[in-house]
Amino acid sequence: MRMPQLATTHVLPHHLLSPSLITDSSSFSSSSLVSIKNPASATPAPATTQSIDPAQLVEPADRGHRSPPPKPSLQSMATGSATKDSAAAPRRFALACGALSQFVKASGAAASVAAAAQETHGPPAEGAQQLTIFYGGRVVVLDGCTPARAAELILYATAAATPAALPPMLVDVPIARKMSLQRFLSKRKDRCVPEVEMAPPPPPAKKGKTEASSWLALGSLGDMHAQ
Amino acid sequence: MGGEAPEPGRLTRALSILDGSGVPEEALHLVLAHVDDPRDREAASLACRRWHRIDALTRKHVTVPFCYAVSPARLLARFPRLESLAVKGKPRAAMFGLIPDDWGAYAAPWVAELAAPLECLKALHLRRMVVTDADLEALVRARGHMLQELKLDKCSGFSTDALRLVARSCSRSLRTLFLEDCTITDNGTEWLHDLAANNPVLVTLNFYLTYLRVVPADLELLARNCKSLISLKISDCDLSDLIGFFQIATSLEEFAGAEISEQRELTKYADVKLPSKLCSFGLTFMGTNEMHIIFPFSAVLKKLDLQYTFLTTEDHCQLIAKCPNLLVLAVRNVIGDRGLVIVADTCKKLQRLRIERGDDDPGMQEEEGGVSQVGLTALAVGCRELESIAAYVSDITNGALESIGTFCKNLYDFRIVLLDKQERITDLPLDNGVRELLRGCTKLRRFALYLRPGGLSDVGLSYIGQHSGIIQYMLLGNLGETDGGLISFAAGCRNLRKLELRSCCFSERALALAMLQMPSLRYVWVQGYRASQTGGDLMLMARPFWNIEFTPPSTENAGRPMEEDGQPCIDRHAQVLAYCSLTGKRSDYPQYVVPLHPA
Repeated sequence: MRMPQLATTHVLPHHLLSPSLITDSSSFSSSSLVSIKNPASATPAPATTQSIDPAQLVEPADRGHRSPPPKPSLQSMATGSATKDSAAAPRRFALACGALSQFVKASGAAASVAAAAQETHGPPAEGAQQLTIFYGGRVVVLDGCTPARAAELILYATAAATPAALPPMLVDVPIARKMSLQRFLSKRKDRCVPEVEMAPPPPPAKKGKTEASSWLALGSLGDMHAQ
Repeated sequence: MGGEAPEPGRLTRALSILDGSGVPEEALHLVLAHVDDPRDREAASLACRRWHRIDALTRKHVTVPFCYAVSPARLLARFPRLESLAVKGKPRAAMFGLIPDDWGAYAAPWVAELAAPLECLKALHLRRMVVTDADLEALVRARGHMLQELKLDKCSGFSTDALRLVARSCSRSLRTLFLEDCTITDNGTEWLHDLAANNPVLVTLNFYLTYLRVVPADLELLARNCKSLISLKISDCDLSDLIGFFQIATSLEEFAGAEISEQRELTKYADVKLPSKLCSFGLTFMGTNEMHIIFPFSAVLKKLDLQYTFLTTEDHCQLIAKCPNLLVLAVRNVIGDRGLVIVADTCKKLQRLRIERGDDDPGMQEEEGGVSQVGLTALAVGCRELESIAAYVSDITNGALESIGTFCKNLYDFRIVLLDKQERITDLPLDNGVRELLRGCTKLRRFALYLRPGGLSDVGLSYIGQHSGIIQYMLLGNLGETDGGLISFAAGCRNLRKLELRSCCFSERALALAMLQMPSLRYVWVQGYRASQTGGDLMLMARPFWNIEFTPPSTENAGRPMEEDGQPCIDRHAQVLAYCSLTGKRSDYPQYVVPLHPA
């Protein structure tokens, strides 16, 4: 799939980088921030020392994406349960995911620099690094997570964190029938028309279902239509 | 003024327009009486107080496009001498079963506050409103002695008892009684008898699509008594029972309704002789074996309604080939591309064409049906006089739309819905075709485009805005890709007054911001968008004299009407209705409608 368009204004709050934030997993509540651990970085990536204005963090939901909440592939990840009581929880989650994405981009660049500079380091292919996720008292560590894969996970997470429970996308709104014609058509069905063989009713249109699943892509609708 | 030429000084003064007192009152009255267009009237009324007053006193007809935009009292104060009033109620979506019966649009306040005080009122037209027997009673009590025209258009809430009262109370004056597509409680057929017996000046009677019972003898009485009757559209009544009626109604020019209750009964309908002046016709359930009824007068036929017939594609081809003078044609899409080619070759004077959606089920003899770019292109090239096209198409291309833009220069109403049965559409997105159509059809005032995801990109949506010209009404369905598309669309729509959006991808925020950008917008209806539970972001468009009503999305269907097969018509999608209003929040909204502003 295509790389999602993440807001370029995402920057990492300085305090989030402090190791003190990576606490014992049992003390985390469900509204914890995603914590980032990157043992493979040899050089400090320039991005990590930027000063940040948290207000610049843009909520994914504002970006006008048509992302529905699809099921993420990782079992340990929240599937929409981030939408708990407070609206603040999903927002912080979204902020954290944004932070993660920024870091992923920066360290992706750094890792490839590192790989070029130090061949003996045995770097994983194409900037793949370890990804650690703390959530709901559980910890998941992924080795060999490429920036692309990390981005994919972020996408799932931000979609799950969207505050409003969006109804399934609008292909489900059927073209409405005019009532006057509807009455005529059902009257016609009722009438006995002997020589016309009534074929068995066709299976319900599958159109809605196939298009719903293709909504994963954030790409243009032309892609969907081509399926 | 006498016959002498005034002295130069006095002449200058008499003709002075800046000094309003120079022009006599009577002259202004006479001049303004010839100004009919409401927009011209509006402009004149803003010139000065005197002209405003004279416009107020001489305005003959007013259409209130939405009943909650203005109060009856205000209308009365503004136009006390109104002769003809039209009021529209429920959103158009009501015709598709998307608006519950108890939504609102009650005629009661209008009748109660206007029927008596409007002393010149002789014509009343209510569209998609709830009208009770009591309302009609109040109306005839106040206006029965001079009511000439009563049009209840897709209304509901009354019974034949009220029609009896109308029939008996308006006897000297009633010329038009129009009840098409109303939901009427049938308490007996006496109303028609009373109408026939008491209304000698009746010219137009229409109770098409009402499913009221009819006694043929009453129709014969109607024909005998109403010598001026030229238009009759009735509910179901077998055609063979009307043989007598047709023999008496020699002046009849327009007829629709009745039905062929038994197909292929050749002898039954053999004696039906239609009146010689008939030039507008429609016959329900007419089939292949009955359509020859039309042949004797097909050459003079101007209006033909085949929407409720059983004709096949081939039948359409045969029949329409005999109708070179058609001006108005309404069919279902069983006409097919083949039939449209015949239309294009034969009906060179065609002005209005409606192609409705037929049955999706196979086995209904509509296999050849379905209209595509082939038929549309032929139509555009062949029927240059077209003013109004409304079509449900199965396939479409940019080229077809371009052709319409190139050839149909008189088009003022264009509506197209792309059906969802066909998986692949030949040529999407339709960005360029839509642009060329809008650029070519400069007289377009009403426009509807209902596609599917992928049908029109954001760029295409911006084209619509950019080339919207003088379009006042739009229905857009499944268009655009992101909020950005909607915003750029809105930036271009200078003259858009009424907007309906359905099945779109836009957020509440974008909707609100887009509405703010359209300077002429006074009414917007949306169903199927990225709704929230509360409609909170819609408040971004809150401002004075702009009402916002929100129907939250819900999983329950309590109180919603059901379709005949038990399926609920109204799904769980949210609805937004926002409109200009001088009356503030309406007091009769149902519990599932949340007035957001004024709260």
